[in-house]
Amino acid sequence: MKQLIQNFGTGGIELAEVPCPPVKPGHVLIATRRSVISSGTERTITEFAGAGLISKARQRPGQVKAVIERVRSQGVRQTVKAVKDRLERWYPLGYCNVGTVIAAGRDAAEFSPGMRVACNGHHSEIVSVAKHLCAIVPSEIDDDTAAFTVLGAIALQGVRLAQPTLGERFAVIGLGLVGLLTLQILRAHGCQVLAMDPSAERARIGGELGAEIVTATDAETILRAASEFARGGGIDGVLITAATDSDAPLHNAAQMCRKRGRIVLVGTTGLTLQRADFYEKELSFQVSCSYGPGRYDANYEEGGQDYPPGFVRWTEQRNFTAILDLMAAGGLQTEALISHRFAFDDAGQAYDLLVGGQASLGIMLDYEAKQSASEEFHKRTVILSKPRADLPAAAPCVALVGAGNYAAYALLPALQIAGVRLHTMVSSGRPETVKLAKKYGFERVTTDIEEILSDGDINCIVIATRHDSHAELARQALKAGKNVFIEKPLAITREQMRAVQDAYAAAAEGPRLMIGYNRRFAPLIVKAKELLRSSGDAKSLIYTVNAGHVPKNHWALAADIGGGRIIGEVCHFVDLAGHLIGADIVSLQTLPARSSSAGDDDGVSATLQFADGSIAAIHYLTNGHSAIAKERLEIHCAGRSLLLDDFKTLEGFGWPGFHKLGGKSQDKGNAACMNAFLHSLSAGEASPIPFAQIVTSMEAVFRIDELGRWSGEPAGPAPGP
Amino acid sequence: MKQVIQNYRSGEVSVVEVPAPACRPGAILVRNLSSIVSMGTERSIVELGKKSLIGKARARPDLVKRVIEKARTEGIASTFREAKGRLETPTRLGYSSAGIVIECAEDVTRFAPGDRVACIGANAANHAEFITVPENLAALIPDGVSAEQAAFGHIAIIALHGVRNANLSFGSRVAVIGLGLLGLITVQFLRAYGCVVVGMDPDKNKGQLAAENGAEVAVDTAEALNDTLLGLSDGNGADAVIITAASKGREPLTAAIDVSRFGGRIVIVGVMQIQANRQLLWEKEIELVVSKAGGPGHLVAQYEEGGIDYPLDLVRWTENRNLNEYLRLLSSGLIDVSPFVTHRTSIAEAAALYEKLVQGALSDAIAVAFEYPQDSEPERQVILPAQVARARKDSTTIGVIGAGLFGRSSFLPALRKTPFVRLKTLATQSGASSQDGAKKFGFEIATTDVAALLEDPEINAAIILAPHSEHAELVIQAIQQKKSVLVEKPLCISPEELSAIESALAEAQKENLIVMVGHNRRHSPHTGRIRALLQDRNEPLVMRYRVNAGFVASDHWVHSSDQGRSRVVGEMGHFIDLMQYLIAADPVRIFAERVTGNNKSTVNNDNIVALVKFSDGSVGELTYAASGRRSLGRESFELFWQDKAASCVDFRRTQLHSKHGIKKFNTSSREMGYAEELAHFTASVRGQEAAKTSQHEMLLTMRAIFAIEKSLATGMPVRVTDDTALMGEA
Repeated sequence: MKQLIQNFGTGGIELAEVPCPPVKPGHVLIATRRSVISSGTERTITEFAGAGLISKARQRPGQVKAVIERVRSQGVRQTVKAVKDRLERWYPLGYCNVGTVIAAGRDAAEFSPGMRVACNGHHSEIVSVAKHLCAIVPSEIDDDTAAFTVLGAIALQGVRLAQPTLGERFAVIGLGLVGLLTLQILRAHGCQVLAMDPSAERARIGGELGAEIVTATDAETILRAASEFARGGGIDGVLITAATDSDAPLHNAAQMCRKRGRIVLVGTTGLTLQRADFYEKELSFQVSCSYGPGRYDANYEEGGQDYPPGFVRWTEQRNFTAILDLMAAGGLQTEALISHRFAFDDAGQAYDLLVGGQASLGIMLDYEAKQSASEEFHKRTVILSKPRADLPAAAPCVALVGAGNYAAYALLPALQIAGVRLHTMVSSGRPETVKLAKKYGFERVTTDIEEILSDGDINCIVIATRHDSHAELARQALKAGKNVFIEKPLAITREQMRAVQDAYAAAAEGPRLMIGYNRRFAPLIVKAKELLRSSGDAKSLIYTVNAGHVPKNHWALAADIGGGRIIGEVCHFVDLAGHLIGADIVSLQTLPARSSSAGDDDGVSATLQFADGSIAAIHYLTNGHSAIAKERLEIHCAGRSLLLDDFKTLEGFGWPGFHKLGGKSQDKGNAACMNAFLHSLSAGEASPIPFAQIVTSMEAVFRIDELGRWSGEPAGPAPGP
Repeated sequence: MKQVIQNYRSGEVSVVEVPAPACRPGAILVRNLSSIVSMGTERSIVELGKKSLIGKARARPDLVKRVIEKARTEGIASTFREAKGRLETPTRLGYSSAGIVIECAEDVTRFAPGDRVACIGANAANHAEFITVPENLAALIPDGVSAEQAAFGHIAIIALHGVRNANLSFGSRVAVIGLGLLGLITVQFLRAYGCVVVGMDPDKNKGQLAAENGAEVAVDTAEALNDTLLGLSDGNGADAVIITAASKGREPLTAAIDVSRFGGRIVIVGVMQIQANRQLLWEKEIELVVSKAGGPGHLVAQYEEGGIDYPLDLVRWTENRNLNEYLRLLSSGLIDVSPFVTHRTSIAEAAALYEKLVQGALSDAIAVAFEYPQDSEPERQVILPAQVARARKDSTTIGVIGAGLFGRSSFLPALRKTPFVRLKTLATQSGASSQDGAKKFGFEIATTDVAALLEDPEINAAIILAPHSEHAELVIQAIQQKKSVLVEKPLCISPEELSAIESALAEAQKENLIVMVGHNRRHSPHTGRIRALLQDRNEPLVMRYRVNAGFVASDHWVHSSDQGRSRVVGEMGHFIDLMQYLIAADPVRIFAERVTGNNKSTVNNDNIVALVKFSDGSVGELTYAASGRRSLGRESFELFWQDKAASCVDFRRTQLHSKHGIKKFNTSSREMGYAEELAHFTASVRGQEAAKTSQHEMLLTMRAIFAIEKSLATGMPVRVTDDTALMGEA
């Protein structure tokens, strides 16, 4: 199937061949019939993408700040690479879609194959959309009309915030698609509308849709018209649906309002409010957010958790339905909103038209010809290139599952230089994964895990998905007789780990199972280990991790997805301590390190005791400043010390012939770790980390996680007064 | 541990020694320090319990109607059993407490052991030494706030939600009618939020207490209330009136309307008759609101049990945020409930206290605080000495996990009657139900510790009646402990679980363990008659099975993806299994369609038709409807082959048609095969019978079910032996 994507670096548009997305629980798989390009929103995005690097930076000062901090902690080279990767990605476009359901995932039983639905899917032949972002299209609404549902919901949310009542007089500033829909929705609420746009053509359409119109651009004429329209009494409310940098729309809106009038901004304009305007009239001003309540709430959109209608009457999905009902009742005309029409295959021309600045309103993409298309269209695997001819026969043949940020930043570069055959990338269906697969030279990209499990050529599977699926994927890979490299953690529950252990024990050929404990392979740690080897004395380690705060809604904190930060991250440090000390953990103690009163993102302080008498104190903290070093490690042993600063420098105190290693750039050993593993494959050697060690350190991490919650004796303060 | 329970039939309140509850996902285990008895509310609960059966029926006509319909379809005997089971389930008293966290589930990060917490909820914050409380029903107690004051949480948030429903702002004039505990706390909230409050209660002592604790003035008559408020509001009347009285008459509402200003608001928090005079409401355009419990989230399973939160921007004050707000006000000294504790008594004396309460001997009481000993251990099991039996060589020693409504009404009574069985241990989540069930059905040990049950070497068979989501894990654990297993359907709820069970089953086979799914219908005598007629069949048959299953709301746990997944998974195993048994062949291909409804009043996946092709060429059709009326009867099926036919209605009326005429087999009540199933299971555990169901059949039943799911999702026929996960699901 084809999907319209944009290269964020060059701003170029292309129709990419991508694999058909899988049917996911709570999602609906849809064959697109129509999608609308809204000239306003999508022009802004494409123009941003087309702008130069400097100009992009100017437009997003927040991200620039993040980049500067990254340079400070990780060095220039790594940061440039990360930024470049991000800019080179493919971004999907489009959010107004109507199509036919191909399949409804589990928990989306309100949809069934064959139904027509409106959704916020991309410009793509097949889209997978969360069920709360889909709504069933009544049969009396044609595809062209239904394609405007999402835009209608954006307009509706703005109108709801303005709380119109029967008989009020409203102004709508800016008659793009959203403006023209807004004025109709206001009319449906029984309001009278004064619509303003400098374009005579757009104003004409607004007039036909029932508004009084103003095309003037000077404030005086506009305000006079508004005053006349409101019979001298001031406008009850104004909706600004224009896209401009100018403060004029907002200033005009404030001027034309009555006392205690409402102004709602749906578009984008300058936001310099004049205090006097607002003070005298006690105006209220609000910026409307997308399609309504539920937007950007992962629990609602991805998790399928609805809000009770008794408390939240209008969610984004209920707004979609309200718009469709209004369309069915004939209250929303969209025919006049379509200025151009292209077959989907010619979508590139549509964007040329946008960027060329030609006057346009709604551009309809038509997928009708694709509806009858063959199985090609549903293919879940796309072949990108032929196998490389220059590799030795014994070179490992690798498949990668999960191409998120970490894989793109750490694993893929390591794989690229390792001289292995990159067979297949398994993707969730996001188009940028196709781009990544191409960039790093994979032969195929697929959304079907079975493809790699059953492929005889692949002998190694690299797993870099979200934590909750690590263990199950590892189990399946082992069962299929593959070697496995898993990004940490091995598992997020003991049951999961047990399943992997069983599969490992049951595997016939003695496969390798490796965890991406890259720090072991960092050059500074290799040096430290070498120095420590010379001494048989017990060691004392203090490992301070300034892990930083993670937003409350981040998946890593969700117990069922990320397993929490202790399981997800502290395993690195437990493993490294065990590696440097080279003995088994015999006991451990913990104290929770609360970072906020909400207690949603806590750290931990854990002290491990080893069989040789060594101890390691791991302080994993989430409440520090991001500018200071992320990781510091002190090692003391037999009157000598080592100090590791953020994997940039290693200083020795009292070591004959060793003072300092390293410099400004950071190397956490990602490439060396992957290499060591791949080398073990091609050389037929044992995996670089013994499986038993992997299990023992994970066991310790589970224990640390549990101790934070439950101690044998009741801990804490005495009973209250 | 000690827990206060009420026998719902006799109404008797007692303090019983029961196992301490287990902590469970999403919840914390709390050692209670204090729990509060609110005189008004608990008296009404206890009094309803004391009523005769007729009195209860009169109080709940809706339930009586349900029972009569059930008797019509399922026969009087089984209906009587279920109704009796419901009535005999002990009610746990108490809903507001405070204590110390002693354990948190792995997914709970808001609390840590040692934290002091306020707890709410009738299914959580009971009068018991140890309680398990879901995360959203607990809040951290700030330093300096006593546990006893924090223990008023549930009552306080009912008052607070009432105050919120009055839509007040700083400086509003408010009347509070009824100065019991709820009224007194309401007065304090209003005062803390900057309102001017006048209280009214015919009992002058209560008025006095209100005046000392936040009310501007307290009066004892409606006239005085009116006069005072007019005086305080420039003659306008009250901006809002909150009624916290429990009354059978209309006086409180009349007084509220009188004292209200034009456009005022009346919030009813107490229990009362709402009969208002239209003319008076019309004159003042008064708004009337009945306030529900402690705020948004209350009694919503997804919120209270599932632990979801409502976004703060959309639902500012949920029940949990209200609880935290109450604790904040306590901490800052803006509220003080200590003057309202009129009695303190140890939990051990609870029964005597309730006796006095019902007799009216505590008329001056406002709130009673139960105190708890702090030296007891959370013992997870209780031995019932009277029921300990000696192990007999020829009997099967059984441990049962779970005792829900189905277990109590159908399964455990049948188990009790099964010969050669020693009932050793009953494990459930709540200690009270475990203790009560063990006593009633003759178990020796009541426990909440499932692991201990499974590790008990004496037990050689485990029966699993736990929630669906736990089946797979429990089956695997039981097999690891070398127990035979009878698990209620479904065997598991996801294809991933099925693949884990598959390996465990291979293990079971090696150890000669019996693993059986509770597909009881194949054991019914009706099924036996039909199977006998099928014996000489050598051509394919056609079978249709109709289930009029009855409506289950879309937010019921059976539909939630992590607990039940769906009724397709939860229930259809019964019918697929019966087809497999009667046809004696494997399902190979399935096509299913569901209705397209709104998925709320018509739950789409609960109204389906599935066609199943079998390996011998037979065809089965399963019609499963949840939108129908139950009075039609629940199940019927028919088979057609070789000039023969058979039909069965509700496992009560069977007809066998052949060239020899029509044979009928009727039973007076539904014969669902539970007793026969148990006899067969226990006999096969003892090695006296060969297992009637093969592992191959059990696995295929589940695969067929997942194939139905996949077909529903894609609108395409699905081969049963295909990968049964939904297309693309890992």
